[in-house]
Amino acid sequence: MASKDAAHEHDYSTGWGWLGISGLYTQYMWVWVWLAVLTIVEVFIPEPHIFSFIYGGFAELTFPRPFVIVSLIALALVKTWLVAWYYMHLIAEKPAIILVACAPFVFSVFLTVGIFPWAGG
Amino acid sequence: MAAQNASVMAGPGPGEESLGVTNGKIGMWTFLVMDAMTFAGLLAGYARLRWTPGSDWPFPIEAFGVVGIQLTAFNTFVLICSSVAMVHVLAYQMRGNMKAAQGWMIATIVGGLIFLSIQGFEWTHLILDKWPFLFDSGYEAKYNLNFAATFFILTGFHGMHVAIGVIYNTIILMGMRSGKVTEEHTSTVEIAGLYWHFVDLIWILVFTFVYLI
Repeated sequence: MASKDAAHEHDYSTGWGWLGISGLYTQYMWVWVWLAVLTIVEVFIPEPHIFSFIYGGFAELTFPRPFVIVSLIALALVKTWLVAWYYMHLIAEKPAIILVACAPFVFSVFLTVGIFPWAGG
Repeated sequence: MAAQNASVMAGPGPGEESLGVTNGKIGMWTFLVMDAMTFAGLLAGYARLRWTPGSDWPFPIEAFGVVGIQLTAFNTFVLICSSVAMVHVLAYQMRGNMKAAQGWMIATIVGGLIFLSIQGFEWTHLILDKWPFLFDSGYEAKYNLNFAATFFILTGFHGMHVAIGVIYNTIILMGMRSGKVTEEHTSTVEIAGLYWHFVDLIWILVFTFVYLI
């Protein structure tokens, strides 16, 4: 309870108005802006031609497949972290809860490595 | 305001918390971890099927079309907006402004409903127009049917979570309107928020693996 209160004291007592709108607060709104921007980047990387309406400059652009896969996974992990850390209040949570929250990621790595068709079978 | 903060910050009574965290929050986190592992299993199974040599797996952009990717990207944005609206519900509740909290909760629910509506439109479009071979043997399958199967399981399982979240949030809203959920019940709203943000978090991964990669 104390950890939650600490998080909200930080968020609401020190937050600045966002673009002059007093009801909106900097930290959460900037996380929202980053999530939106990263979503646009995510769509741009595999399909830059979707953005060819911008000066028509991306119609021929393509990125190497390994770069697309690695960058998209990295972007997804960053967005996931933003949501968990700020919106789900892990930033102010007890270490035990953070460890519990990390468990599925460890599980995912073992599961994917374990059943991925490395040998082609 | 001081009295209100005192009541909000009074904390749970004896037996209502474990390890310094309220039982309700521990319960929700335990459920979310279990749920995340279920999604991890589904995504790992998706990866196993997709990257098996000779799987004849299409690139998503070819199967969904540009409009599908754009529409789903917009849907992702809707869910992000709904998530930040949920943050504001708790923010206004903590400051004792329950009227504003109710307004943001309505925005959260509307965001979830828009997401479900677009997903419903997408499913209808895919089943009737893009993948007629799913239910009509008169059409020849263009590619591995596991592509459609994993798509429907992953997006359907997530969509079910969104639908449950909309119902959950609606119940909280009704509680606010009837006066049963007041500015003192921050834990109730925070736990509902954990679920709703989790739904957003999972969609980030599903969107990346199913639509973009």
